[in-house]
Amino acid sequence: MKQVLGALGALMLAFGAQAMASPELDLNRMNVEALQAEIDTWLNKEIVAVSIEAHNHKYGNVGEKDIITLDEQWRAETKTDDKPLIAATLSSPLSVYLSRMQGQSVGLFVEIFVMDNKGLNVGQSSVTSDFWQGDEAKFQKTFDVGPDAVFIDEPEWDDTLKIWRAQVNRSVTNPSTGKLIGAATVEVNLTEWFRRQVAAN
Amino acid sequence: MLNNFSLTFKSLLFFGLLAMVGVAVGLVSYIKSDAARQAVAQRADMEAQVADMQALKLEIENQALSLKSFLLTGELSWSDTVRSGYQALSGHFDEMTTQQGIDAVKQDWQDWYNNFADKQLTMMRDPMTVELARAMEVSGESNQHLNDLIGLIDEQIEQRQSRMADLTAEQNAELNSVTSAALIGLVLLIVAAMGLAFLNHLIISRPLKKMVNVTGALADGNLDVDIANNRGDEIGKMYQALSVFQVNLRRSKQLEQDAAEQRKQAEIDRKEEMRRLAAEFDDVVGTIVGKLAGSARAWKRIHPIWPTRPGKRLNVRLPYPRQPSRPTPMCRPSQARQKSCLPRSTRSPARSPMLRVWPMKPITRLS
Repeated sequence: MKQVLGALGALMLAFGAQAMASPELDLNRMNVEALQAEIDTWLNKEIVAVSIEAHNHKYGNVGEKDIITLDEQWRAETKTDDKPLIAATLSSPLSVYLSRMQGQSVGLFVEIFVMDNKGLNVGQSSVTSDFWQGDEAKFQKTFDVGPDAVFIDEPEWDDTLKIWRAQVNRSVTNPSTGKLIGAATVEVNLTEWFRRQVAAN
Repeated sequence: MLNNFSLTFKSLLFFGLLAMVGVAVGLVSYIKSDAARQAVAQRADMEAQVADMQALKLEIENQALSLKSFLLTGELSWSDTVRSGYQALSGHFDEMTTQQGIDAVKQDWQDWYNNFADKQLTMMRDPMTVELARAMEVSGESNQHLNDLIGLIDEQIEQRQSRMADLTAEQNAELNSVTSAALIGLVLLIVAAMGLAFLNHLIISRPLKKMVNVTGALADGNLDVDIANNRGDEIGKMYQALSVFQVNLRRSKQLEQDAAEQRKQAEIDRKEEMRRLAAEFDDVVGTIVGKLAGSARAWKRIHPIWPTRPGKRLNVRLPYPRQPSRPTPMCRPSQARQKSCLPRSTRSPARSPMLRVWPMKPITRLS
């Protein structure tokens, strides 16, 4: 028992020292399935599906030109005080829900946003740089691939917060019908996740 | 008393009275109808005002609902609805400035818009104040203000509706007056017409009928008919003229009677004279005949051929101024157209009845 504890303590110290010292991080050593399950507990909810489907319905007939116009409006709004589109999206029920989930994760999730079937933002916990993600890998490698697609982006070292963060992108389905309706991006604090895993073990 | 006024004056008076009844009824009907018409116009105006107020209320409620929708969904089109609603409502308030009590409503609405709606709309455009905008809504102050505003509008609508009810009642009252005036006028006119007919009978027809009787009686020669009257009108004057006629007629009748009496007296006198003459003549002739008879008896004794058959004419010369020639005998039917006899239809102009009577009597007395 003492041996086990000692080994664990050594491992922790070693990992912690490695994490502190080096920004290198081995994703393979992380329990990604557990992380997925953690995300599923709040993402596979009716509020997400209802909001995305309403958004799909609302922008169902919007062409690419209009999408680009909307994206440009969003970008312009980020630079001024009058932010009607950003305010409306950020104050949507889904955004409020996602913000709460982010808060409840106590530092595990840094940013969460959900997209519709065109890659337009439906709900988000913080302001994104653009409104349309349809041209980015986080949408193209998930929604365009299939209902079960998961794409985990390269982790990045956040020097300000001194943490590793990585975007977990995945397709979103309606939990009751299983139909592919949109995509979600969850930015995870890998440092915290690793800490919790170590603590759990 | 009425008899002393002229018929023209009386007819003017009575028909004037009739016309006055008509004019009074017409005037009352006109005034009441005009009042009813004004009430109708006012009611229509009130109705339009109520419709305006209700439209206004609906618009404000719609604006408030759009604001709530915007607060709930963040959908920008709702925000635009609220803003355009403000412009439209301002315009409508400006159109309704003549309406009573509209200024208070407008002020209240503008207070609500400036203190709540406009602020919330602005805050909803900033992610940092979106929740504040919603918190303001949750506080219920905006709702309270809005409810007061709607209450104020409802009050205004109720005032107008109650005024409308008053106007309807007024209108009904005026129209009822018109109906009553028409009915009363009808009855008055009937009564007046009947009265006039009776007066016409009393004042014109009856005196005229009486006058017809009087003139008829005068025409029939009844001069004792009573013409006396104390009327001052045309009929009275006609009676006066008639009485002149009556007097004249009486006078002429008297004259006629006098003349007839004189004529009668003259006839009596003439007959008396004739009788006297005849008696005188009889005496003369009797004496002569007596003398003649004596002579004849004497003559008969001398000449027995003297005709003794009664009826046989005796040609004798009489002591009379003019001896009539022998009368031409009347023609017998077989002797027609002969000069020796006269036609049956003609008489001898020389034969006077006195002469024919006179010789016969002594001769027949002879036999």
